[in-house]
Amino acid sequence: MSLIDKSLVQDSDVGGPAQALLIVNELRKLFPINGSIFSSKKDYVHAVNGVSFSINKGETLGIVGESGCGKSTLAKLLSNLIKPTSGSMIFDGQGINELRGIPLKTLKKNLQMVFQDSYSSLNPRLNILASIAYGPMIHGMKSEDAKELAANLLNRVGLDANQFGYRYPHELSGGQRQRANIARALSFSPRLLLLDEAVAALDKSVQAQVLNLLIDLKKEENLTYLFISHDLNVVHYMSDRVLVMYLGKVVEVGTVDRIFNETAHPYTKALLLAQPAMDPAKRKIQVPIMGDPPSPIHLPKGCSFKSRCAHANSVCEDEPKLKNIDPITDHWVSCHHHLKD
Amino acid sequence: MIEHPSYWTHVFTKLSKNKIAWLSGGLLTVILLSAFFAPLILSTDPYRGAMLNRLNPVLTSGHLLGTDELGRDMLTRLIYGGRISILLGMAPVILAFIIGSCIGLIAGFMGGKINMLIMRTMDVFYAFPSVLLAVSISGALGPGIVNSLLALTIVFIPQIVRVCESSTTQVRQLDFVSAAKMSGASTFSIIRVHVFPNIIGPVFVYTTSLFSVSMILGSGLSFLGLGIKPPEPEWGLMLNTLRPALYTHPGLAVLPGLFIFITSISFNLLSDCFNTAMDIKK
Repeated sequence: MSLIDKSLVQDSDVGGPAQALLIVNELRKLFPINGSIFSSKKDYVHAVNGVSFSINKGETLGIVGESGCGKSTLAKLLSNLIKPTSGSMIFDGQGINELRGIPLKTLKKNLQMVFQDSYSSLNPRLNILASIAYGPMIHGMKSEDAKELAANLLNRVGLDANQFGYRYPHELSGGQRQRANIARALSFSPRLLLLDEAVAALDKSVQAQVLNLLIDLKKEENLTYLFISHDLNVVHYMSDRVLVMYLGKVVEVGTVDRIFNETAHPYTKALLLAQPAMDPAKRKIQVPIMGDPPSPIHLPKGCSFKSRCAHANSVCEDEPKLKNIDPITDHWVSCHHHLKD
Repeated sequence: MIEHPSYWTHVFTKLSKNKIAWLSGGLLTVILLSAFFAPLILSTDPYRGAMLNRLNPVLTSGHLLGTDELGRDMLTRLIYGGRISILLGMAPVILAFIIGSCIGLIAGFMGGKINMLIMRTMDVFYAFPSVLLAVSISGALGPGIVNSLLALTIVFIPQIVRVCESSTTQVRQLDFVSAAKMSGASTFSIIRVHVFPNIIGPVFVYTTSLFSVSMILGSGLSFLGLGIKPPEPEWGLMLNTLRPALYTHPGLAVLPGLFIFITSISFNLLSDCFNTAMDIKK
């Protein structure tokens, strides 16, 4: 039984369950670097540089990559907080960029986000019940109904509404605040939840609680997750499919088993090796990947990973294209000599 | 569900437990009420002097706080003086607060080119010292109380805009504003619910600290013949006219200054108490 008021949900499921919920096509975001007012030549940070992928209904797509690879910019683009330089996003058959006015407002309801910083994502001057009730009220719900919905949602995410509802964000712990944030996102009955490092700031035991809550909610509310994280263990635990980003580009996409067990891209391999092992016998002394990624301002020619790749040779001067190396599971890799092991 | 007190009930409950708030609030109430009801509580005339009774010291019989350089009763003039002084202190600041915080919110929230346009325009006003600016605007508009109120308002707007803009810019970048944007809320609603309540604290405190500045600037204008004219009672003007008596009758000459001091420090203390009470974390 869903606690969320289904009258809020606008059923716009156009393509049936087989149609992807979100299709992202060649998305690009360049940030101009402000030089002098008088100079005409401008440099750009290529934060997201031609990313294409799709999310199926009801799945969890994990996005991994090191700091600065464009994960958070991608989340902001998807959540419509910033406009892309080029490319398109199609949410359930509707192009996000073309929408204005009421359809855009409806779309925004379906696409919600949970931020990494649980404190700054709640208004310090509103108690959490009011913070949660704000969204439904914006969409025309009566104040009492919205309060009741908010209380129900708080109970749903494991916070007693009577005890915590009238508390202010600073009176809650990090885990409690993140639960409140999840409740706020759910108050719109969204179809896609963007989780941008949503558990990264929580300690391990609270992290596990919140992750299990997310898994339960997903089942009960038919949610689809886009799960951005740098923690590979968490991504492995949560995701159905995993997308690996490097320097604003997709380097590998595949099911979670393929990515973790039959890694094809040298960068993914390096990321997996960089994980600290729990078993002391498996601990490595050697650092599997050296140095920093190249500057996103002056992109290298050809493969962007070649400067740090052990397999790089002259072929890598050409830019590799994403190719499907396992059509059964849809495993895409952008590497000239993808690994087979 | 349990009923909880509203935010403002919460603020006033906290304020009522603060002794300094009671003291400064009480002093201000006394000064404001006595100035407002001056003709009702006083039978003496603030304009009638007696040349034979010039510069009587404090506690002279019949003149509790002595008489000024023209033999007028100091207590009467000080109470009547509060009317114009407090008006000069509060009206321009309140006006500037209303206009300035709106401009600051727009500049801070919109960012980009609009912000640059507004803030660089404000910088033009900043290029002049505030006294010089007040004098030149007042001089251009001509003497008179309305014109000096206007001049002071124009002086304070850029200062309030700047404080408001910097707080707004900080708040705008926080995630809860992004979350509100994602909810599809209108810009006005976001500013009203999420931005304004979070910037009002610092802007409010800064604004109230301007009350005393405004009072002193206003009396400065009067001294230059651009604001209030003698024989109107006004604290700043009285301070100026009693200036020659400072060495011979210091106890008398500092009285208007003492009133300015008490009023402005009460304003500042009360605004500090408000800020503490409005901070939800304390």
